[in-house]
Amino acid sequence: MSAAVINSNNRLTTAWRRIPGAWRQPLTVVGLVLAASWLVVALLAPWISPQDPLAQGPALYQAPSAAHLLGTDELGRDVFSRVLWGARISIPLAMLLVSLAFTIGGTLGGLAGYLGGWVDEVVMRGADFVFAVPTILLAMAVVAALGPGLFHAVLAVVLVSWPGIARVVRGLVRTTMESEYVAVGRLLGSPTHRALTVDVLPNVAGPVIVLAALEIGNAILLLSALSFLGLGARPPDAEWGSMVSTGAQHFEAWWIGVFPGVAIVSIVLAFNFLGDSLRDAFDPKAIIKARGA
Amino acid sequence: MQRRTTLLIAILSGVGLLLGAACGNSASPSSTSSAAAKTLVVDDAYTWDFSKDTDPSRGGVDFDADPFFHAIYDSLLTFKLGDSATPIPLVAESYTASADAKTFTFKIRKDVKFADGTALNARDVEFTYNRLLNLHDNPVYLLDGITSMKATDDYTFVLVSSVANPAIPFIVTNPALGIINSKLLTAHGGSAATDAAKTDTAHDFLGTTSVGSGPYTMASVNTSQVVLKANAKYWGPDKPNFGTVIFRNVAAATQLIEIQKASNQIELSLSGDQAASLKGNSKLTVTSFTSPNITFAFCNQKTVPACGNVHFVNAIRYGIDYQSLVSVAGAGAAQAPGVVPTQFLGALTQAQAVKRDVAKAKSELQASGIANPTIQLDYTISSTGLNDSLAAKIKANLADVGITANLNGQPSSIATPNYRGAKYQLGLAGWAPDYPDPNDYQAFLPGQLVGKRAGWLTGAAPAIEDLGARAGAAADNATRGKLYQQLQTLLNQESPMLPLIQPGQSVVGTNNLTNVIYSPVWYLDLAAIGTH
Amino acid sequence: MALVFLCLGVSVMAFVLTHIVPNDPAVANLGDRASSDPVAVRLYREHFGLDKPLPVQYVVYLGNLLHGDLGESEQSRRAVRTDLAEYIPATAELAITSMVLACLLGITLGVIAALRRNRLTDQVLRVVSLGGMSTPQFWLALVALYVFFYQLSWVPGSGRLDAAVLPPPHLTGLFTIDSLAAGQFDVFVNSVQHLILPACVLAAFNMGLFTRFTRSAVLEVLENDYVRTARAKGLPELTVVFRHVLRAASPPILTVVGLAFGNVMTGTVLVENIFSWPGIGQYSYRSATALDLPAIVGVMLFVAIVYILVNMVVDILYGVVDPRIRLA
Repeated sequence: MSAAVINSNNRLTTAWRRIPGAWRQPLTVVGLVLAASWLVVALLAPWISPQDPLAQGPALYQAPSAAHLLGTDELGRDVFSRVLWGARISIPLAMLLVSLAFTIGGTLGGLAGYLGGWVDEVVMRGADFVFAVPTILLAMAVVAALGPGLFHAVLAVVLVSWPGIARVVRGLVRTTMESEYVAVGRLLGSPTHRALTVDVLPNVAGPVIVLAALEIGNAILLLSALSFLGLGARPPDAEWGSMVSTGAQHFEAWWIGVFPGVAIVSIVLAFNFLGDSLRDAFDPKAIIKARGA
Repeated sequence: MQRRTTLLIAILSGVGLLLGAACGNSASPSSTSSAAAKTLVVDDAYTWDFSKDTDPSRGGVDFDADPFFHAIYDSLLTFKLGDSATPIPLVAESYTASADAKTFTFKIRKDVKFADGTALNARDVEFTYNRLLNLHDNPVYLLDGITSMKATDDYTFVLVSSVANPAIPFIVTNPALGIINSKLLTAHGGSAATDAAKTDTAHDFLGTTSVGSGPYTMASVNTSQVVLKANAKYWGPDKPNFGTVIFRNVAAATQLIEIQKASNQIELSLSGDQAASLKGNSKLTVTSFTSPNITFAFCNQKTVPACGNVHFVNAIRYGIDYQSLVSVAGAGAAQAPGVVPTQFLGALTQAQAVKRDVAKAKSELQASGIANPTIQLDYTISSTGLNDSLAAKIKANLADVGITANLNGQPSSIATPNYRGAKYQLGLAGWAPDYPDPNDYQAFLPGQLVGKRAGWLTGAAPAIEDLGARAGAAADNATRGKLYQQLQTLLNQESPMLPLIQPGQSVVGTNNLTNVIYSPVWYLDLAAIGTH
Repeated sequence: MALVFLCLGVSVMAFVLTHIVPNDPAVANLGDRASSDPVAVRLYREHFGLDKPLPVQYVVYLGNLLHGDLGESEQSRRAVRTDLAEYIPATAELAITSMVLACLLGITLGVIAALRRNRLTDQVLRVVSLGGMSTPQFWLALVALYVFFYQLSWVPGSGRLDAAVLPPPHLTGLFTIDSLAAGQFDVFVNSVQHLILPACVLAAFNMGLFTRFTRSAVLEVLENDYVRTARAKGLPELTVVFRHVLRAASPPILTVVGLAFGNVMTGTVLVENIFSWPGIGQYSYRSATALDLPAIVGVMLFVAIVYILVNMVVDILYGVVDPRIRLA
């Protein structure tokens, strides 16, 4: 009996213990540094960007130069400043989106896993259904119906991303609940809330953190795609996706569209590096299965 | 496992049925790999499906569809290449107008043949006009005020209007009024009866076949392209120069790249800046001109009571820097001096246009008694991004005067109903001519189409309305021109309408092509285009 | 059963979505003057059944659906079924090509990464695969178009064929197959040239995904005793990898491949818009922005059915590759 308890706890502790190892990987460090720099940029954009991102200068379509590090766009706005300010839109929104999706998905998945029965059935059928409809179609329909705008785009993406999280959380809760040491705890008469906080939560928390890192990257991608299609950010907002969309109209001035794209790549890559390293430290399978779509 | 397989088979067969049924309906493209004659490619960043527009009586008066309707269908009158001021004969060899400009009699040519060889007569004209009226779809307004459309004999067609309408010869040039082969269409579900809106079933037929007498016929159509073939039996003196014309739906950004590698190709959707970037390319001819479409702003009294305050509107009027708007609107762009575009009868000159005067704007704002006004600037996000640029400029202009404008650009599906439902505040919108005549611009007057969208209702400005009525009914062009100029001068002083610019428009073609000339009515005369 | 549930769900959702919009599709879709003409608006609403109460509209829609009738698109004014039949082959050709590319590349790279675990090769492949998963497809498509078409002229531009090349006789709607069937080799070459760039752009994300998952699945198998046994027996490394490791690792890889069809659909919306590819990605984007309800529901239903089908095939393949499941 005691052997079982040790075994189960072992897996968790090994995982946590592996994290410092993950930090030693160069790519993890790159990811961490990149992500941290973008967070700093998002916080400090008003002070570090050389110009007002909306200010229209007389010099249109200027190639990158000392005066304008990344050139100017079709209205004479400084692309560098706009890219920096873009972080202030994408990062907080992606975080808001991920926390909303985790609150909804985590609660529903947790309930489904813990209670089982018809609750489980309803939640999982709902999740299946959202899974079957492609993300962007659903998001486009929602945004088209509610009207474009970043907030509506966030709602739309939350609507399509909770099921992935619900599945993982449900799976983790189930596995933990079925494990011997929770059963033992019950036999020994420990109350339900104790089982939840002491046994279930710690086992669920790790993978969920990994998933969150990966989801932030995905959220940024999807939000920028909606903005690119004209369904997210609205001009003149300096949002990366809509900046790329403007750039597409002006191929000759390649810098208008290329740099916002580089910004998206770098921040999503940062979160993916982080998430990937953390995932190696935890049980990869559960996350893999849930994140397929 | 057993259950799974059964379910799978069930689903597979379901999908199979669905697709099988669907495939039965779809036209299979024909294969003739060896192009007998030359092919012309025209690219347009088209807003929607070509397939919707293949019935001229429904899909006509669509700027993007007009070039191929014009190539497939012949209308009663037409214009000489490059002209839009004097209607000349086409299917009608001549016409006469009564002195009161209410009755128009068209003599129909006897030698016009449809593409299937049938001879065209006045019955076909009567059918076409009645069908357009009774389908009551988009182009129906072309026949507003018409009380009678009759073939009095095989080669005479008479139109009667309830009010004097000297614009009728201009209206009948419209590609939506291209003459349809009535026998052929009736045999395939076409109807011109009064209940045609419900009984006409020719839409699908027109999706596969064209029924006109023009220099080209439609060979195939789908969402991405329309293929036109030369009409082998074309009755006119000038045979089409190309065996095939392909009208493709291509994004502007892609057009910019593709044209640099092409031959026999024309790009219609390049912005002024994009076109300007091609000027150095010796293989291309870039033609930039002033579009007859006007971009205007309006202050909606229905949503913003301050718009009823003429001083407030004037603060906006004199606060806008028109030249800064022209600067972002591409090569060929010009300020719109009034609502009537500079190309048409009755237009104001550039010297008469409103000029920016920040001091005057500020004093007008003070006179209005409104402190620190904030207004929402509503507009449609356009594919070229022009409206975004204009709105950003206007916002900056008005900030100089002390008016805060919050930009609210929306995609067309949201913005258009708001605009049409008079829900804009400070609106930014466009007007493309329905026909090249100042009568089309009556829409901007109180109680009319655009007027109502600005909450500017009948009785709001009696002097303007009276002048408008006289200008609309005047029969001779000299009088009309003068009255329309007076009308617009008044509009520029007292109306909530703020004409802004006529954008620059560019047509880029490979330089082996000739006669790539823009028309405000059908955009491009495909049949006239040739090669050196 | 799942299908019926899905159809009901998708249609209810689309109905609710498009009807919380305060705007009238008649006013949005009619021309400038016609939209202010009460008769034209009334005729439009009658034609599309918009004059009936919402529940009635829904029942009518379901009734038609039973006969395989998806209604008429408000945008194209054709049967949605006709529209889909026209656009699906284009998307199928693009999606299948990109999936094949992504599988071949992703699984190969994943196996290599696992065998070279934590060495330089593994790190490089990690950057490549995560890079593929981190690059916005719309941006990648534009950059690829700029570089490979505009600057280098290695590939032709947008569309499925050059303008002057006529499509092959309709058989499957997939131009590569149809042209070969008709013996039109020049058309085949042209269609492959047009296909290659959008398919690669579309494959980038899934390639990364498959590399990551193959790597972890293979790593897990490599730790097993029978792999060590096989190696100890002196079997060639390739035989070990393909006969033992890859087979044992395939269930999780298959799962991911099945789920990844969702990514492909998202990608096609963006890629088709940029490459003027006349498929359902472009169609659905235009339908959604025009609030064309019948078209939106039609596309959603179709894609959902494909998704379910693909994942059922994956379930069946499970049985083929995994002896334990076959026994059960």
